[in-house]
Amino acid sequence: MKMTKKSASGHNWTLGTLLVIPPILTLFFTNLSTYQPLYETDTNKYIYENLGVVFLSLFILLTILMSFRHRFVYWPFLSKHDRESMDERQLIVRNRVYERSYKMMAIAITLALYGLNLNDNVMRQMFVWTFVCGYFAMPLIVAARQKDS
Amino acid sequence: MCNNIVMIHNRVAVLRTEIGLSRQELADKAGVNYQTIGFIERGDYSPSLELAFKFTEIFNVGITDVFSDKPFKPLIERKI
Repeated sequence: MKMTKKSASGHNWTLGTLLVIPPILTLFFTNLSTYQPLYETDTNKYIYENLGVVFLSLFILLTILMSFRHRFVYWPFLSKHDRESMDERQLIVRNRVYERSYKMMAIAITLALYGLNLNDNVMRQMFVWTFVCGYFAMPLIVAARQKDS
Repeated sequence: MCNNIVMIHNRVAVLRTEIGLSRQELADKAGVNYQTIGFIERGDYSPSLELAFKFTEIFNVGITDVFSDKPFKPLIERKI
């Protein structure tokens, strides 16, 4: 399949780009809609909201379709059933992918929660920051439960 | 933590050709994916000790004949 063909450097830029653009556009239009005033008749609020929904739907569809082929490799809760069929190099690559994904998600979630809850009440902010701290503390918690860590 | 990664050189491609195995056949014997053989032959991946010993068993040679931390000299330059 041409869509998943890798470049000479080994990177799959097409797949990467296709899966990155829809969530960015979803967040952009959803965020834009929140700044549109409700009381004006010529507001674009609903257009931006609908565009957000369209790009979110596209993101969900692309994620399901494009990662379905590798579902046993990269979807964490399914991969354990197929772990024995992967060799040592594939496991190292998969673990590196998980590690980088974790780092990117930690940054993305922190930024998103910070942006969404900046003006929220104190109790909600406490809940959010507990969750963010938990995300960063998770490796320590998991490592403490592993015998070889 | 030491960050100096030692490049491990190997003669897997030469020895594989010598005994007339394809990458797929060698992969099946060693119990790995055929792409992993390609990565090892190109020097992009250094195998575990377990896999290295499997190679020595398949090629019927010593481990230093297959893997080295220094580049191998071409066989034609070796004194008999």
